[in-house]
Amino acid sequence: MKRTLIAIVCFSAGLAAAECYVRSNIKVARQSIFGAPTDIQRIVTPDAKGFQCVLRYRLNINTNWQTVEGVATAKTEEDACARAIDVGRASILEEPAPKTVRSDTQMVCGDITDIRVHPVQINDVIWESEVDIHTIPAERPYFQYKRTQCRMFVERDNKAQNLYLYQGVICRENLSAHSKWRVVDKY
Amino acid sequence: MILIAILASGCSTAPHQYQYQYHAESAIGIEQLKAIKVSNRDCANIDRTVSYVEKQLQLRGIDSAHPERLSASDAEYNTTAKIIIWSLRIGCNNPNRYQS
Repeated sequence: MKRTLIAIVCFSAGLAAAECYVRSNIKVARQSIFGAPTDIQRIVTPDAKGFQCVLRYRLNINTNWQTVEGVATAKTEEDACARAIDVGRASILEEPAPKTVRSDTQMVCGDITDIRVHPVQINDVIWESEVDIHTIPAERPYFQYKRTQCRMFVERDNKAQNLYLYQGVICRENLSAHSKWRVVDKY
Repeated sequence: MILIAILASGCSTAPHQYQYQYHAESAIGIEQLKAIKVSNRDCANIDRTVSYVEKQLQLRGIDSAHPERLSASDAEYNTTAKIIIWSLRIGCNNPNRYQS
């Protein structure tokens, strides 16, 4: 009994002496960008300062495709679009820690299509960012096959509560840097 | 993927001159297919090896099949064959791909 009382007193004293504090952890995650901007769509219009370039392209950040938009003006069309790429990239890299929240409304006209990842079939002609990059980093780099640029992709299919993972190969339709891609194989 | 690593390193311990069975009318079994190991030494005969494996898919009746529509055993067969084929196509055309 005596021992129990001593234990209770000691425990209470320990509680009284305990100090609580809030510990904060800040984790900064570096964003991993795979490859260069791809599936670039642009609308260029004459502007008082020269040309205005509205760019929409896809960038793979942390293995997820994201649509990036940038608008810039310059004396030449090429300069305007080169700046628009940088403007878009800067805005998306800033997103995890925005300094302010802004809201605006813009009317966007044009034939810029909305690209998103979706199931594909062999022989489909697609934008590169319509299929995911490979889950294995070693399989992500581009390679040459029949003198065209190709890369492997993966496709996730969730059916009947089972996750199926397919992989495949897409290759550029032609040698142009902005060409679409053909699904050469999927298995 | 292991096949690809083996292909890149060129350190396969499996025999490179495996027996082709063109005389067979039916496709080889999955175990025989899995036993086909390729390395960069097979690049000299890439067309022959790829044709042989593609022929097996044809004999099994699953060439140019949609993978979503295959049974589990056919899907395994198809994937095993395609990994052999693409390991050769990629590894032989891009020798530095898997070098660190």
